[in-house]
Amino acid sequence: MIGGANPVERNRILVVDDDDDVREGIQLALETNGYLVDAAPDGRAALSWLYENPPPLLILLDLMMPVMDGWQVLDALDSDARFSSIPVVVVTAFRGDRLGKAATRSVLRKPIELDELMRAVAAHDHGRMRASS
Amino acid sequence: MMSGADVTMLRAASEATRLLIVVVDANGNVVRVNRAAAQALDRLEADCLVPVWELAELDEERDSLRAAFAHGAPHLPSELLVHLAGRKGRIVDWTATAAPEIGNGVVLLTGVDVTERLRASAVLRETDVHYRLMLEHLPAIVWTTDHDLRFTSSIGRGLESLALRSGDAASHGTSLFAYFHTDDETHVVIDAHRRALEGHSATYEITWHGRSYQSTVEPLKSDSGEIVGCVGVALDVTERAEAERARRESEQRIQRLVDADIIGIVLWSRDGRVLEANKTFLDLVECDRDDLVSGRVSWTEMTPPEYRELDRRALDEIRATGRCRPFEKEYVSRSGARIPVLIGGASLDAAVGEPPDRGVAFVLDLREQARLRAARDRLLEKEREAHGQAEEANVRLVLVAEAGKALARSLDERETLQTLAQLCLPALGDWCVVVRRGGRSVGEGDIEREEVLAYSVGAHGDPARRALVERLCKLPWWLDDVAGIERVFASGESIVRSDASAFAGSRNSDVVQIVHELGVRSLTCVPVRGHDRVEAVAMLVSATDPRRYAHADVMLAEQLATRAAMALENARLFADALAAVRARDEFLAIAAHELRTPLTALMLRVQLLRASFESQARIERAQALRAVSVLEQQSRRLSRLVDSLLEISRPASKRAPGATESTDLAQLVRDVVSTMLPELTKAGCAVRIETAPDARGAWERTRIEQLVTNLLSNAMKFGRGRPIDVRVDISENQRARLSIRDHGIGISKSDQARIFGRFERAVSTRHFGGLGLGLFVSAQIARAHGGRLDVQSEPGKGACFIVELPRST
Repeated sequence: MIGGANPVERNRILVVDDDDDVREGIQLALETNGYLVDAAPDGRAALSWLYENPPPLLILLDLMMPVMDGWQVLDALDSDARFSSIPVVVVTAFRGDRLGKAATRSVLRKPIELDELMRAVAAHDHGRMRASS
Repeated sequence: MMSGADVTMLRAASEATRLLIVVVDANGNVVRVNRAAAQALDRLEADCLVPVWELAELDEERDSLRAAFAHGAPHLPSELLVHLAGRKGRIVDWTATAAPEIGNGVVLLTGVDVTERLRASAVLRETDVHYRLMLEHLPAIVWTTDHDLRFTSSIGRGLESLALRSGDAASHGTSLFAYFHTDDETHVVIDAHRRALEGHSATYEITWHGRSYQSTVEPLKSDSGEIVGCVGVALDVTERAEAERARRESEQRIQRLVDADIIGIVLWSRDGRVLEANKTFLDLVECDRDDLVSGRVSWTEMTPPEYRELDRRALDEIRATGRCRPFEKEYVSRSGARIPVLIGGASLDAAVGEPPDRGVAFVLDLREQARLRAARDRLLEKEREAHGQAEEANVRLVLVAEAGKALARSLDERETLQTLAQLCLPALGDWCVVVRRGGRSVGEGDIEREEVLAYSVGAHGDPARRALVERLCKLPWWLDDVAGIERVFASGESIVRSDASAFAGSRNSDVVQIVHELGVRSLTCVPVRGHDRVEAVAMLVSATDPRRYAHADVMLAEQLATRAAMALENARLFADALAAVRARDEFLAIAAHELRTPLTALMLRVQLLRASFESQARIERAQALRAVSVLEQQSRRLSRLVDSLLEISRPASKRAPGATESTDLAQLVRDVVSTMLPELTKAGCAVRIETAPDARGAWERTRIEQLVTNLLSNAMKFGRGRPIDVRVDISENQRARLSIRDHGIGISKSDQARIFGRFERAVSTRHFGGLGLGLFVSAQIARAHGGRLDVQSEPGKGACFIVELPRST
């Protein structure tokens, strides 16, 4: 709780993915490693969550989703000062050109390895959770 | 002996007489001369006493005198003409008389100076000769006859023509009968002579030995006036007769010329009338003699206005010189035909310098010449034209070849048409626009779809005006069927228009304004023909020339358009190839994405399980079961994906059903729904099933299951969590029918046409996963069973997919 009206929840991660099984898998893996996880099935649901909750430690963001896709979410985050500093890791089955401007972010390529996932999360955790994992 | 008185008297007499008296002795010596003799000898009397021969002038006279006195008894001729010595040219006629009374052997010479007399006589003789010569050289024949008509004389050079000499006929005493080989008293010659003998003069003409004579015979009278014969004169008039005949022939020739159908001859008057004309002229101007007689033929009226000045100049020339040089003009015949003629004229009666009242004109029909000249001109023109065409063809060939190269460089259709427009300029017009219209089919395999195209590109020969054409091309100027473009699209045939109103039909005032600024005098629209339709129409416009487009121009434009069509076809093939490559890339990306998604879930679960096993001694049963269930679901999902991939890679020929089995469609649908229930539930889609019996057929069960699964997945994916209505029944045509209706986002009409295509989807791949193969594969399966798959939908109102399959009986 380092000051500010909207303190970062240091161990809460928002997982955004339209595929239930993938979302469930990631959620389970993170929770198993001691994180608090909230999930959203599409971009709009993710933004709604962000408006209503303190900024999470990290957002894991799928790209191809119905209603509002991952690229649109990135645009929305960039254009809103409240969200622009929230770290985002893109988790996608796309490769190369199809990533578009999402390629500038941290990217985890599906299918993801558990180790990979945890390392990516830990990189944004400033080592806080490392001891507990 | 004589007395002294006698001697004195004699002496006086001898001195007085004009006779020359010379006394010569027997030796020939002059012993005495009288004064007259001394004067004649022009010497003193004493000087005259020399031998007599010395008094002679000429040698032969001297010799004969000496000889006469040689023997002492001179024998002298009674008359002795002697030229006197010392007096040149004086001739003396001497008479020698023996004078024994004076002395023995003495000769008395008395002489008379006959010089003058001889001279006169010579002149007389000469005159006679002259007459004779005159007669002999008379270019005529003069003859005389006696009463018996015998020639008594004949003279004159005219005889030469008859191979006679003067006097021949007379010397032979030939009669006229014998000479003319006749005994006919009525013979023109005999008759004339008979009349002359009767005292009349007679004339006649006769041709004898090839020559013509005009003869006059007169009575020949003696000094007493008695008729003693005839005298005739015949003049050789052969040359004159010849000339006369020539004149007559010439006249005949001229008459023939007048009558012949060669040259028109006109007698004209200054007031414009044709007074007389031959048939040739009348025929030429299509008039007849009645017109002529009634004065209806007027050379001024027959002359077209542009030739009146020439006529005026010709009249001036006739006034100045009496005639005019030939010149070419035209007459207008009665039927209005123009008759080219060569005409020359002359004044008939006016003195030089006077205005001619009447004249003659010679008119040569030049129609044949004009025709030949025109034919020659046409030939020349054709030759020039052919030459020009050959050169033009060469230019065209080069242009077409260049066009082929230029067009081949582009694989973009818009660029190709732009190139076509530019290539046409400036050779084929001032500006050019090309309309691309209709559409092109894209896609592949069994499903094709149409991409609607409508745009235009253009160019202008003048770079400064290019912007105007570009402005025009931003407007849909081809609407309202301007310039007959629709006809070209419909018929594929080029059109040429030579009017400025080609764009008048446009209701777009901007279009009308721009076209007005660009200018239109004539245009041609040529089709750019694809293999089964007109892909585009190129409009070439001349802003200045109302007759710019000849057949050859249109042909050239069509050739360029053909080259453009080929380039367009290449561009299309290239675009199709690119699209196919893109579609495959897209598919591979999506397929990879779709495969990785269940793999992600699988791997996470497996690695979590492994971690659980590694970190915990015991794992909760429920947790393990949940994990295994997820693994199973993801495996099945992968399996379905693989099936779809297999279906897509299967050649069309092998898409026919494999082993079929009797299948109840209603039961099959219920089974699939049951299998998918967890997913359906998760998606919030309740499924309402309504089935009719007997929807049974011999189908490949697994593939029909795949079909139903695909349709249900779609309904679930796009159904926005609303109920899905599934119905199995028998269609009107007695086929088994399955309808799956969702209440989701729906599909627009344009998308409905393409969603059955391979790799196609109505929605963005950013939002919806899936291979985009579901409907394609489903339609394949339905078709493979002899059935079909259709869709009914409106955006926002859900979609209903209907499968019909033939039933087995």
